[in-house]
Amino acid sequence: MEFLVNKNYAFVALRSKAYLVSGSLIILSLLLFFVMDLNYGVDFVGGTSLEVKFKDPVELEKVRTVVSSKFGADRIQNFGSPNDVLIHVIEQNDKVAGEVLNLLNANFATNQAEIRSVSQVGPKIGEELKSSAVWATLWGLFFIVVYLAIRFHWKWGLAAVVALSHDVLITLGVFVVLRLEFSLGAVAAFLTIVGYSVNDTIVVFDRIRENLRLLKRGLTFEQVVDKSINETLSRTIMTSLMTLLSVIVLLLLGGEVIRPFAWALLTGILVGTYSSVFVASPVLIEWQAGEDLKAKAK
Amino acid sequence: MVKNKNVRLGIILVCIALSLVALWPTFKFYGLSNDDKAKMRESAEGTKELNDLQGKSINLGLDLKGGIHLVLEADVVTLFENLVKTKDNEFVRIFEKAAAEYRTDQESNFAGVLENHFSEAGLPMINYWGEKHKDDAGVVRFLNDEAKDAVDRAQSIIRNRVDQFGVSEPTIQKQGDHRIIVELPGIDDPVIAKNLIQQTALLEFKLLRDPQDAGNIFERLDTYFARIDTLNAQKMTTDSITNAAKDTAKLSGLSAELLKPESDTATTDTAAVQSGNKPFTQYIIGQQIGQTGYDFYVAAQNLEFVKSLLFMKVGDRTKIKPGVQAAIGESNEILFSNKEVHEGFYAAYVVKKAAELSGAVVTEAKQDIYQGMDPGMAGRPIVTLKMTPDGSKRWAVVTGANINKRIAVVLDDKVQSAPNIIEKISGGNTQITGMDNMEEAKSLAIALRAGSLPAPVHIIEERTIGPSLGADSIDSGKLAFWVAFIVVAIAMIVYYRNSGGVADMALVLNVLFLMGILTGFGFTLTLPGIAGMILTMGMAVDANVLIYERIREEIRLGKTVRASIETGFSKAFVTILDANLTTFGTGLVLFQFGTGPIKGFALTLMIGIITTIFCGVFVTRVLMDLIYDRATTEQRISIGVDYDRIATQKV
Repeated sequence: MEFLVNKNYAFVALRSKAYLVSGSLIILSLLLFFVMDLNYGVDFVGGTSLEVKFKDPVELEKVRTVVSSKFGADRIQNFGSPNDVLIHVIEQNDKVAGEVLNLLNANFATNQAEIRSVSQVGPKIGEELKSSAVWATLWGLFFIVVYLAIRFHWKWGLAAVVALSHDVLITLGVFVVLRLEFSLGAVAAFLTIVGYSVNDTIVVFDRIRENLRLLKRGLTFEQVVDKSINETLSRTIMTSLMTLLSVIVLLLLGGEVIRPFAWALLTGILVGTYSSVFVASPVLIEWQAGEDLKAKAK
Repeated sequence: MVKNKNVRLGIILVCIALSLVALWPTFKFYGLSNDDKAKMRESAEGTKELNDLQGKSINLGLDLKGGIHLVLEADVVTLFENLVKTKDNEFVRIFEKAAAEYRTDQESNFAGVLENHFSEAGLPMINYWGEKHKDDAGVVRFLNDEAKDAVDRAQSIIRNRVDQFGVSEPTIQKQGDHRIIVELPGIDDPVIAKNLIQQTALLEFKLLRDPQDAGNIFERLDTYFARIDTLNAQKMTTDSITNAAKDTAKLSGLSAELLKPESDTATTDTAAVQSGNKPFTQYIIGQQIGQTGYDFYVAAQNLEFVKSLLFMKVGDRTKIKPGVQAAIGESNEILFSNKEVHEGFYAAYVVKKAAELSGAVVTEAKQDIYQGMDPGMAGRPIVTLKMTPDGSKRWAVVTGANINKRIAVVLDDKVQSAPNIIEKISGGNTQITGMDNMEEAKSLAIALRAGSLPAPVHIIEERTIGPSLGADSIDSGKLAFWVAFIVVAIAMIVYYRNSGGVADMALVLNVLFLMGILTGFGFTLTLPGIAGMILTMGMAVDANVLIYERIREEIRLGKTVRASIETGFSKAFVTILDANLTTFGTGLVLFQFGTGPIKGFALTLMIGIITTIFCGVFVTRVLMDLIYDRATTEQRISIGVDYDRIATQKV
């Protein structure tokens, strides 16, 4: 089976439209982020998060009323099945888990609850985790710029980072819209997206570098970029497809704990594939980065 | 690259063999049914074999096997404060100011913060922590050493407690300067485990004041609270007070009697209560026990309120209010029982503040069942103590001098029991009562044996995963893994034909090596780690995709089989390396920043990248060479290329 052989799509010519699409998506994500904010997990805001399994399905509203009668319950949501409820309360001390369980069992006498997991994070730790998550992302991006600067040229590194930030911001927007819990796992997912997306971008960059010799034969840099994207297109699609398949399986079968993680990856892979074609490479053209790399090579 | 074909094949076979050896115990252990395991546990050899197998099996993270993850922080503020013998008002003022500043910025060094505040106030630190130190710099050094030492000691004491409690494969490690991470796999009851770890376990023996004196001291508090008007503001609702009074009737089998004046029925007389002439003692219920004893109680629902009258919160710490301390006298202390002594009632005690003896003298502590003379105690759990020779001597003096008086056994500022001293105890043996069950007695005995923590520790992060959730996570992880594997494998064959099959073989080996390395090096598999493996499968075939697409291009250019493979691999290699190294870099960052499960994910990702490069580039190459080594010029690679179209295009 083959597809996309010897195609010659004019990706570069589409770049102004791509900028428009990407730009508005980013602005939309940022707006959503500032208006609705992320659904921060207990890792970042502190408090106690309990995963409770009832014997039978329960009404969320009733659980909310019961729990908030005694606790500062700021979030109660289903967790996979109608029997499973994720309860997030602001209090955090030794007794919270036991008290919540007693409260639930007193109010749902015929539908006994079992606590499946407890996460309790002090506000101090929450702050620390927040700052270390930000630092981890910044260090990750820094590493990529440095690596690409060494292997290519710093402009190429920056172009990759532009594409990565694009991916991260849009995935962030998806997190806000779907009200997915933003936890430590989500940060891991974001860094994975960064890794995946840069992987994709590098494959294209590598081909562009290889094809730079064609500049001598009279091709423009735009044409070289287009040619390179087309040559790697079947690989780009194939790899994204394979990874997407794995991630979709993860999303469907991986269980509730892993779900936000899988959502992040799904979005990230889609956006990341798009950005390596429509964002990273066109940015190279805007910056006339081809000449720089050639000059560096000499 | 190694050129010799046999050597290359040999390398792969050795890797396979090593992985299988590493994974063998895992297969065997998880292949056993619960019945098999139960049968093996019956004999000592079987148990040993089973433990051996489990030890060599793949390490599962807490999120998969269930357990508790705790981050403890040593309370250096209390530690430093306890090192000071005499505190004046000026000291308290400056110390609290420094403590408040430290609390806002935990990254700072508390000894340094103290130094700033004391020098600002022109107060030498040697006045308080002095004695042996020449100057304040010496004091700061001393405090820093103490803090470090305290955390080290706390770590070894906690390890000691956990080991004695019998948790298999616990992790207890220091994080930074003031923190200790404790991981306990497979714990059913987090409350007991947390209590065991966190309790300071400071055991003290303190003499009770006579009931007469105690009564007077409580009444002094009436005068004190009547004078300051705060009580009215905080007063509880009349309802609960009346209930408390009525509850006295519940005190089983004993004649309920009110605190002096005995004839006064004020507690049932709400009018009198509201008049506020007994702002404190209205919550205290006195009662005759036996011929000589006299106990004071506080109704359970009033306990928090009574405590809030006496104590105040300063940061993380609870301290007696200075006015209260002055009212009851500097040498006295009010303590409460650790639990309800009668249903709905806690006991309140007035004791001599200076302890007669502390748990430091304990050499041995064992849980046991009461077998003494008191029929009321028969069958109750107790802890028996043995003491050092010095401790025994002291204990003999204390008990000998206070016959027929009561002594409170105080654990972490709560009264465990307050027995009557019947005779002089000279052997250093003593018993502690007041535990609900054997579990609690065991936990107390362990804590006393392991010693008390040099500074209180606070749990600042806790993650408990129930065993059922862990098992579910493993199940769904396994399922997702196999489905993803099959889907990817089929897609590769459909698209790349036989070469896709070769890629699938490389993928199988990739997973085998990844698991082998994880197990062999004792790394931990977590739930995000499983997700990482599933993701790795998608990324792993990327190496094959890159190579195959290159080979296809070469074929389309009309190159021979051998040449296409050769060029395809060499051109794709640079790209594969660049792409994977950057991903490896982000994995490294993630590993640095993450905790527990996230670290597990980063680790799987990084190992996955190494095995992917190995399998994608090396293994695939060896297999392709094996198949196409003797290829004639007419032979075609089964890689999904439309040879007919290429032929027509050429013509």
